[in-house]
Amino acid sequence: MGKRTVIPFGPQHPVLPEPVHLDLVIEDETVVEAIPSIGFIHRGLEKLVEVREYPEMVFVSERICGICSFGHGWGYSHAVEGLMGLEVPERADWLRTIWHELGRIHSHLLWLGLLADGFGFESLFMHCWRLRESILDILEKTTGGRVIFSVCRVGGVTHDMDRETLKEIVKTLRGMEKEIRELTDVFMEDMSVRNRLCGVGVMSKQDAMDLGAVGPTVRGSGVAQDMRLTCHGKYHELGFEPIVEEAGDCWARSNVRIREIFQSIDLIELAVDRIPEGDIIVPVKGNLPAGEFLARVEQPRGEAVYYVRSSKETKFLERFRVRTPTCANIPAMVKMLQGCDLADVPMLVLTIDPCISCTER
Amino acid sequence: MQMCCTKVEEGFLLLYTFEQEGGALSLKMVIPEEEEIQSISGVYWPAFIYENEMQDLFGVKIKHIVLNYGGHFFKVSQKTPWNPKDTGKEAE
Repeated sequence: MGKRTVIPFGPQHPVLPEPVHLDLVIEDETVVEAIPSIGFIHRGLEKLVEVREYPEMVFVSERICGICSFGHGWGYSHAVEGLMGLEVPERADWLRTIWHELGRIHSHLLWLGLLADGFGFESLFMHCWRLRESILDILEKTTGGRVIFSVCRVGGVTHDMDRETLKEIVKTLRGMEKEIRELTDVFMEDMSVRNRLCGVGVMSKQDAMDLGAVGPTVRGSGVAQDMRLTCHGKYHELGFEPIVEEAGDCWARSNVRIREIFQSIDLIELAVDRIPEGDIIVPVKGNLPAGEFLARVEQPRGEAVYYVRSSKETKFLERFRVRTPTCANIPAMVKMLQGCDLADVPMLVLTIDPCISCTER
Repeated sequence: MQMCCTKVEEGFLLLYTFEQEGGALSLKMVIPEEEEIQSISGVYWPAFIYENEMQDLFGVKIKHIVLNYGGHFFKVSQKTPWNPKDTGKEAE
């Protein structure tokens, strides 16, 4: 048995977009154990329900994380709507679906850039983020915000998109497709990239399910789990099927995200064809009823769970709890790190697309 | 899938939610503040994250957590900030 050494990874590290700490116990160059440590950016946002009335709390929810912002706003709104028994207008649901998929595209492009930066392919990183700018321009044009959109409210959405704008969005996305495909072909086919991703961090289907992994992390191991099948938005009317890969390694998880970019473009085009005319918000007044509700949203990183509870008729929730996808994927990441080479640690950590702001709230 | 703690009059309301065939099964219990409960991380290993969170933020007493950070999972300056005890002591 080689000598064991403990190497600290993070909280500041060139490949980490946000602070997370891992104590890596290594023998020679192999990681035998990884102990995660978080809490560097805990902001106590959930506790703000005590002092923010429920219509205002959506703004706090959106700011849990910048990349997953729309999903958090939607999840919170959906949970409160469920608690109050509110029916959101059809058009609002379609608009939410379109914005959510735009958020997924920009999130996956951001992650692809970070992945390229992680293995030192700087020009690929820059191109991914350059393409992402076109999505951010669409978001700014339609919502006023590039990252935090602030269009989701309890009861619907505050902005509408007319037919010309929707057609322009589809035209822009279809125009970008060729360039995105050129970039993603590099990820999938370039020999130096495949050497860093293929066969690295293999997680079996059984392990993925036992460890409660979610999102592309679990779909890369052959589990067809996606909350868009069950819970929210108009995905059931779009013939949505989750993207699944079987290999369970970093390459498979990357491929899931890449294929989801193209799938999101298709979903947006279908949604634009089918969106009906109508209202975009219903008036919401009065206190919350006593009760509780659990909502689930498929964020770009995976399933996020939103729990709201009200114990009496009041404008303040008693509890707002968010279980974010990275929180669910950390145990899977720790398991994948066991037995890996030290040099593969950055790829493994990035492969779950960690969003520590979400995890710590 | 998730574990959630809420401070209520009787103590703590604990909600455990599990994935169940595309849906969710939630189990709820109310415990007095001083009661010590058994960890489920021996059965569901990922539960250590949520149990440490409940321990750090609310002060829920949980025994036999497989990976117990002893109150240092979240780097907070005040002990159990979501269930403050007004002792004047800061987190160690």
